[in-house]
Amino acid sequence: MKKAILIYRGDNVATMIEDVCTSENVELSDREGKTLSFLQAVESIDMGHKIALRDFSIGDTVLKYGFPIGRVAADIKMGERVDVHNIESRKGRGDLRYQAFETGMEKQK
Amino acid sequence: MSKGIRIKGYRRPDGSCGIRNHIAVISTVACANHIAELTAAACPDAVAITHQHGCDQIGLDLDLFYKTLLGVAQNGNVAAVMTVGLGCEEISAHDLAEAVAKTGKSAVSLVIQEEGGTSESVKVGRERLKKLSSSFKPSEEEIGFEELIIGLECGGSDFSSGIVANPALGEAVDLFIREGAAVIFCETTELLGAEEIIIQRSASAEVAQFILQKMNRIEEAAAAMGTDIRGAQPSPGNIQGGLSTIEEKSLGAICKIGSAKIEHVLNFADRCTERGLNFMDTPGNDIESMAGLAAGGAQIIIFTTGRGTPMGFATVPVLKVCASPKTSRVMQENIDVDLSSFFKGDLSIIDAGRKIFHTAVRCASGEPCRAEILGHREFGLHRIGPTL
Repeated sequence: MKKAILIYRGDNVATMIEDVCTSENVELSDREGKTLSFLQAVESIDMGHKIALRDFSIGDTVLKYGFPIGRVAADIKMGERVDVHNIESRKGRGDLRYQAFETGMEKQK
Repeated sequence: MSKGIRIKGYRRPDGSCGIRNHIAVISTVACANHIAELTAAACPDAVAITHQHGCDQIGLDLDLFYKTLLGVAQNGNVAAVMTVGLGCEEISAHDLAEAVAKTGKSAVSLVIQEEGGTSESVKVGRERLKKLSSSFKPSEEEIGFEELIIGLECGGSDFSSGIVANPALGEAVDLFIREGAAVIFCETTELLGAEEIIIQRSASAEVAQFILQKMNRIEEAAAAMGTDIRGAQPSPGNIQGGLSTIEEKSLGAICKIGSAKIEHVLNFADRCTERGLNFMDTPGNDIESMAGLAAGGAQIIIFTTGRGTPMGFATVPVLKVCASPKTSRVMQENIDVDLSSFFKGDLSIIDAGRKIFHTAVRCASGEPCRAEILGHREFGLHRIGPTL
């Protein structure tokens, strides 16, 4: 059994505080160490990385600390690793504004 | 308000206090760096403050350069100042020394083009420094926390920063503020994603607006470049440490401000004059940010890290707080407060906060921190304009 910490009730990801392997069970607890629930890792996840507490579709919002930490960019199954390969930031995205500007220019043509 | 923790401090002529007695040998231009270093090397109390700038700077960028150097010189941890210049740069070493002397602090200057070459300048510089160091007696007295300005910084963050180190620092910050200290948090970039918390925690609409405007400037800079800030924020190290987005990094970083309201706001290197929780607009870059804090008057900086960093600051003790089990082991000699036992279930966040508080009290009372013991005396300048 490997441990993960849920920082805020209502978060939909938790942080692994031990390395976990595929199919291993994970005990989810709060920061005070109280056990909340159990789930299974469906892939190996390193300590410090996030595990999905539910299924996500593209466009869903990922919550940690009770606030959005990004948008889902590729579907995620419960128990999978949640990281830069499947979520993306919504802040400091000058590239998105640049794309919007380019698209707007296209439309004007 | 104050429960009366007393620490050893040094009163300066302008009324401010220090917890260290450095003689700052400040280079006013990169051309003077080597001579500043050779000069400072002859005096055990002296620390050379060098950088790559001071030439071909204009406008607001030049103003900020001057403001930063003057602020660092005025910091209570600096007992006396020697400025070292070349002679043809924008900010004259004589003028900077004069501005410091106006505050009552002993200050002398050295200009290379007036003295001769390297050898002659170092010889004259060392004589002047020797005279300077024997010309003043720091007046030691007991001071309270109401005399302290505490800077908060984080660098090389990972998952453990937001779960343990920053919330624990937040607990310590509540204690510092209860004791009457001024606390400054900074690093504007590392607030992106924590907008709601900033709004909730600001003491007034003006405070919130100031901070949000500074944050918006980063969004504008990213838009102007047509790029996103990923790759730098979070950095590759942050990502390896489990932080996937700037929002995640910011929401962990903001935990370090504790539960007080944000009462006051400061521009980069503004002098901090109010107790309680202050915000200073600085970049996410650690050394530039710490220069802003030092120029603002911070006599001690508490620095949380996950991945680990050895960095100190020229004239300010930088206490390292780390909760990563791996880093606390691998970079043990760089860590002042090891909170990694949290992950074994042996340490609560409240107790972790107390541990930081007590270590900071000892450090403020004169006990050297790891960065000081290991000789870390880093310095760097924040630029807001191009070099011409």
